[in-house]
Amino acid sequence: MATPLFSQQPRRGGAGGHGRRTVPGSLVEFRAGRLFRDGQTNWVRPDPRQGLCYAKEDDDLLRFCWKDRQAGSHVEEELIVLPGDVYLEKVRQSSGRVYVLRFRSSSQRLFFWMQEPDADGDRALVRRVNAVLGDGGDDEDDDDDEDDDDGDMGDDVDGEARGVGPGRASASTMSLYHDAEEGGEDLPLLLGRRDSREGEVLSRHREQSALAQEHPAIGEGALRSAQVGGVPGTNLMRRPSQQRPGGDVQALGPAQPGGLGGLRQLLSSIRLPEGYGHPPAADGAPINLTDVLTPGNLRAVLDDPRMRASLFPALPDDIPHTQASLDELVRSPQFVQSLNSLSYVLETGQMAPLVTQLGLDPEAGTSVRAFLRAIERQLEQEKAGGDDDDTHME
Amino acid sequence: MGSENGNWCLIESDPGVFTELIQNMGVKDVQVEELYSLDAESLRAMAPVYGLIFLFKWQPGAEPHSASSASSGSGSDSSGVYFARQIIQNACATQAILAVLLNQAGSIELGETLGGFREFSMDLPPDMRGLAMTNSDRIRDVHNSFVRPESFISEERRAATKDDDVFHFVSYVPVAGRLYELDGLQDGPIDHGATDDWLEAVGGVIQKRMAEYSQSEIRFNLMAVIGDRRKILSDRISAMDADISRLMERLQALRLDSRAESLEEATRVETQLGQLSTERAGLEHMVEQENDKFARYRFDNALRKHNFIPLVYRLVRGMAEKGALQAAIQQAEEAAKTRPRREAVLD
Repeated sequence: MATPLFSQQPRRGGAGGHGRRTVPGSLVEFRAGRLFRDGQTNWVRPDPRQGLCYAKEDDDLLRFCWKDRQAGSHVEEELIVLPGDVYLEKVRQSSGRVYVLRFRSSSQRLFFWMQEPDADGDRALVRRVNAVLGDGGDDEDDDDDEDDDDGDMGDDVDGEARGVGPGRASASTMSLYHDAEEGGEDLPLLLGRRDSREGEVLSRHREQSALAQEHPAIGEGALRSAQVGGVPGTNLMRRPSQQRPGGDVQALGPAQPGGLGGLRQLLSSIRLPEGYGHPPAADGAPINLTDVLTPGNLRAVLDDPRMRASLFPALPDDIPHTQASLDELVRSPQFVQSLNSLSYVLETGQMAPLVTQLGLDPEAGTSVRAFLRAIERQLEQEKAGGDDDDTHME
Repeated sequence: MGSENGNWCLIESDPGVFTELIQNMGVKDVQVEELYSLDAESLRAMAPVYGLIFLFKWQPGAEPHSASSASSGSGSDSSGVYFARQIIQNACATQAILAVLLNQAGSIELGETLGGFREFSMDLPPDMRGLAMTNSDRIRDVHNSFVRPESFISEERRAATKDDDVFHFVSYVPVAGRLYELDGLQDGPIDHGATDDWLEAVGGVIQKRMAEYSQSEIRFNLMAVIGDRRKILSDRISAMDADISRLMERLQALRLDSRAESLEEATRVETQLGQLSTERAGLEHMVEQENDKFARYRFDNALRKHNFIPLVYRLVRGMAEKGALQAAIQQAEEAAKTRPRREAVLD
């Protein structure tokens, strides 16, 4: 995990892809459009607009921004980033000039398609961007670098023939693997190679996104809901005869028996409303466990042998009970998805009857914050009474 | 949410899930691979390929599409194709897999469950077969063993609207020298004609299908039901070992012989041996990769079925003990503020 110690990376000012800066004070700029993930599939859909990405420092905070070049000063995307926490890399599954801004501390990703006229400069540009973003790159992730090399070789072969142009792209979805519309002629080249780790990651992330797909509600009183953990493959039309008003709500009753198994059942039956996980920018907005239990934040816990040992009993039986498993688990889409669901049941109070099984007060089940605080308080109380009461869990 | 009333959970269309599903149904030596290329050469590299499963977005009104549809009468028509109508949606992945397996009974060891089911349902019409599949406790239990903690959420019982993303699986399978498309929403199997090499033919057929949608929709996903790679590789390694020891013997014999042509021959044999052992190392490496992949599947599938709450609880405790919880909460608050309200960036 990057720490502020690394924030004083040398920055190369004015390292724009096109040699001139349009945003005062920007550290690096390049012209690129965005792509948005299509539902919870691993497909992205290009936004045809002409855009500009840039990084700047404001209030001592590094920001990564995107704006529509036609939209004047309006900045559509502004992310405060921790130096070293983000990096730009080529999406190898696409033969076009598609890049992804990835976060080490979360699974958040932003996709861009290059609009710089010179495709040959992409690679150098990405390196400059990453230098500005404080990404160690070379030292950290050899595999990624190899992947980059491969990707670039692929680029050289493909040239920019399949570059996604705004005009053509606007009407279509583009696959991370292949732009089928443009590749129409030379299908059966359906999709690119998948021997990289990135490919695996994408593949494993497929359809496991915590939230994304929106569905119009049906029936009176039904929430507009986001489908969670849905599977496009099986999210098929349902015949009216399959329709059961009220659906799975019956599983949500507080009289849920069965201990933690009951919790699992409960998680099984929640639906996240649309927009959950996209809290409004306001103080007191619900927080999400995915932002608390990030791999970076968990580092200290997972690096502690005593704590690791106490975690092993909570792992599935049939995976190796090792540090490597834990490291992988906390990065897994399944874990992230569970955190999302748990956050939701906490924020909606549905956990209240069940947190008592963790030895917590029912109030702990009223929000994510309350849950976290209750666990902390429980620990403090145990510590305080520790001398005469050794029965706390360790 | 008892499965006693016929619920089928949604499962992920993931090769690891499908592979374990097939194994748990008692089918031997079959696995599922995701395909990233449709050319016949890539398909042949996976041989034996028993069938392909094609996932695409289903558009109401776009069906039925225009291939020559077989008679809608009996599923066991003269073509010998086993066809079942799709009765419920959540089962469609399993049904697509079964459509391949049940049509390859000659090449695949189906095992008791599926073998028995095939025999029992052989004489039924397609819709009754679909119903029988849906009602099979054993098949449903295997399918439902992949229930993910969140997967019932998706079981919103409602009809799809035109705005919905609705996906559908279709199977492609060769039967008696002809390529068939099996789509449980159709009345019968769609005959794509006679073919000597269905792996050559299927690319074009699927491409055409994709072309029908590419104007508006190009989300596709393709899986191949293939033979157990590790078994095939280790068979090849054994065969190669036999060759190698045969050549070694010959080399020894040649070396004992001092004639010039024998020495020449010995050099040739040595070269051949060298090539074989390189090839063998390549195969060993592929076995390793398969082993890694299956370890990956086991890991992922274990997580898919896991209840994470006790772990979350312990992790939070750990963070509190490390004094790191408050900072993390603040960080999450920042994240809640700065996270753009847009679905594409959430993962």
